[in-house]
Amino acid sequence: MQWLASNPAHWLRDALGDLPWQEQHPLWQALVPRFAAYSPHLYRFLEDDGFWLLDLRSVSRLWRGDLLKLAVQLERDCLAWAPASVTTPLILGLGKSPWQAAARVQCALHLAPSPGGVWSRPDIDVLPLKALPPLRKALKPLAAMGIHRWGELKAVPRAGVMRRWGRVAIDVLDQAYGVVETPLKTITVPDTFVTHTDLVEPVSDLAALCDVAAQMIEQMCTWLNVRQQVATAIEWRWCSEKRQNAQYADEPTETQLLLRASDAHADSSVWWRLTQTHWQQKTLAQPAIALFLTAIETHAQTDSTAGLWQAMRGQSDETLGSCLDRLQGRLGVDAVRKVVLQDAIAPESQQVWTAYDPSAARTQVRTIPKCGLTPVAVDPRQVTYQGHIARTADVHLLRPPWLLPSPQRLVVKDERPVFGTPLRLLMGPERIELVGWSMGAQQLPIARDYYVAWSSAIGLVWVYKMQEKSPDSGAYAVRWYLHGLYG
Amino acid sequence: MLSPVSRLVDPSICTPFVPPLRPPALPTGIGALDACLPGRGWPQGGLIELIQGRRTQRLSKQAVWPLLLPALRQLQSNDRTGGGAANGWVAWVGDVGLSPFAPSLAQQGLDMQRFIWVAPKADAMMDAAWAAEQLLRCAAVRAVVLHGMPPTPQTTAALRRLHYSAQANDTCLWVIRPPEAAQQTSPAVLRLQWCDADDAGLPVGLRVLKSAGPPTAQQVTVPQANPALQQALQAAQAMRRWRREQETFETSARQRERNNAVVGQQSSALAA
Repeated sequence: MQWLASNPAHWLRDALGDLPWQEQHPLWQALVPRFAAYSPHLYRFLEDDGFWLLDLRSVSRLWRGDLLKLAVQLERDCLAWAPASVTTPLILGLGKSPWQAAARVQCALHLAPSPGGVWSRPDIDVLPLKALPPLRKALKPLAAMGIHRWGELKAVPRAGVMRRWGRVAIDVLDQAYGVVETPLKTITVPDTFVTHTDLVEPVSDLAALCDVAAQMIEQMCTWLNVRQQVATAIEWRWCSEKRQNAQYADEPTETQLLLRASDAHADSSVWWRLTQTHWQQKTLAQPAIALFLTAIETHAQTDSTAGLWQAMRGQSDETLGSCLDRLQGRLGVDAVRKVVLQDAIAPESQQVWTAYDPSAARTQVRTIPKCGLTPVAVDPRQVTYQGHIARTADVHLLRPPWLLPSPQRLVVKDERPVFGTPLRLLMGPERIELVGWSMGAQQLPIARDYYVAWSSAIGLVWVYKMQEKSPDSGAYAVRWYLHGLYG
Repeated sequence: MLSPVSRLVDPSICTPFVPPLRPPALPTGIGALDACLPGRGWPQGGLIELIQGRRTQRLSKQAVWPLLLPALRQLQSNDRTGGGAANGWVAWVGDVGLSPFAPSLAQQGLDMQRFIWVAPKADAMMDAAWAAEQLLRCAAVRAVVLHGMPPTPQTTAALRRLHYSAQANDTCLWVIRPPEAAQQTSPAVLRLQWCDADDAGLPVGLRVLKSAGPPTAQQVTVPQANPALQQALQAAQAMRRWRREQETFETSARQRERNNAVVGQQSSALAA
């Protein structure tokens, strides 16, 4: 039993209705990966009857030779996937040759009143000659001779069969008994994944589409696994009917939602959770009549095993990237932030808090320097420079852990800066000069004198004073600013 | 002799209660605080509340970083899952109107590459709690610091949920709450409250409101700055004091010279 046959066209006829059976039909597109998940060698057989064949020789070892178990599992899998409109049972046939497997399916159709399940009977010799379509013309004369079954024809001398019905009859008989290979046409899994579901009635609430969406994600992940790929971006698209009223003339009939993931996944649960999080924040402007799902970015799977140990007690297997993707989905993209350190002199320019970028997280291989002013690579001969770097690094230890988004001007009273109460300067000044090549010749370099001060209202603070030109009088005056907090 | 009740109970189902194995406490890096905490450190796998003092300024912040940095550094370095750089993450949840100054924190030993800042909208308290719970469930995250959670009827339920998440995942969770929260009941395993410092000194006190073990009424002094800054401030203070003394000495010396000169003039005038 190395071949498995099925007749999906017969099985799905309720769902297909009067539509012609086409390869581009979404049901076909979705079913191919489901079969291909069990064996990559999927073939088209007896095209007029729409049979499919799976060559199980290469996967037999994975199932410890128990291919009946494989067939039962495939049947369960297909029945679980099938649309609700499918009421016909699925028939699967096992055999040592493609003809045998297909003949058992046909036997089930003709013999049993309500066929279904996996058929590995009847025996080869008692299979009907009707199940060999190339011998269709010879059936009547053979029946007149009392020959109805494969075994009976095999018992007839080969030379006589060849003389009477030609080489084709002998070849088909040999192929049926597995003596020679049967020529077959391969079915390939589509290169891209696009699936859609036409909704029975217009739907305006996304919660009502959850079941459909979960099924579509399952289809996509099956396709990904068969193609040995992983996805990093998917797109949901809702189609709506064009409204007749003139006030809706410019209203788009399509709505898109692009979901990007930090980590590449072929796991349906991950994509489903991310979809759910985004859908909870989204409302449809108008009722949808069709839902589309497209795998936008796919990559080849890499065999990387993160670890042999399972997650600890109570912990999910979810990666941090997936978790942050969901946080961004609910709280907004800008709510999840990561820091980028920069080489700059002004403290406020030494760091940039940017929104967490999933695509950047995937490609992040470089390391950011520990200190903003420390370059990544320094010539070891530059000893003095290293000394300078060490000194600069120490300076950062004296700087506050909190920084105001922009310096806050302080009131000055009796030449002392005030924030609630007069500040007591404890340490300083540390001069930071902001000089840039873009500064004009007339412009003076900006010098800030930083102090660590004590405020009875807010504790230790980081303040600076600088000379600023008054826009009214044009005279320079000393101004104080609050820039950081030691908290 | 066995009691009548114990005879009725099947001995096979009478297994002694074995409490779940908890991870050891995490040293705080502050000796005085370690001494008064049960287990000599931060309890791992549970909610820890840090309640602010009575300061009412908008920018009022107690010394959170000096208190938490030693523990966060340890959590980042002791990776329990062995995933290397992919694990040992620290998450700060909440928008305090200020941004963490990464160069300073990095220099103090925090790996900013494994630091994530989640800043939900200021009024979305439950969003912040939800985000913290999601992060607690993630195996790569070792510590979550949540800022906010004012005392409201929903807060207690949210805190209880967060506590169970932290407990189930053995992840450290600190929640920094406003002063009013001290009056509210809480499922936290440890509750600390800052005491206001006076103008004279830098250190601020920390009072234990709730902890396992016997009650501790003592107040612990915790530094308000990192050790390098403390040393620099002490040095600056010593320098100021020395300058003041120097100025006083010079002034008194000048005064003495002036007095001597006056005395000399008077004596010479008398002699003449």
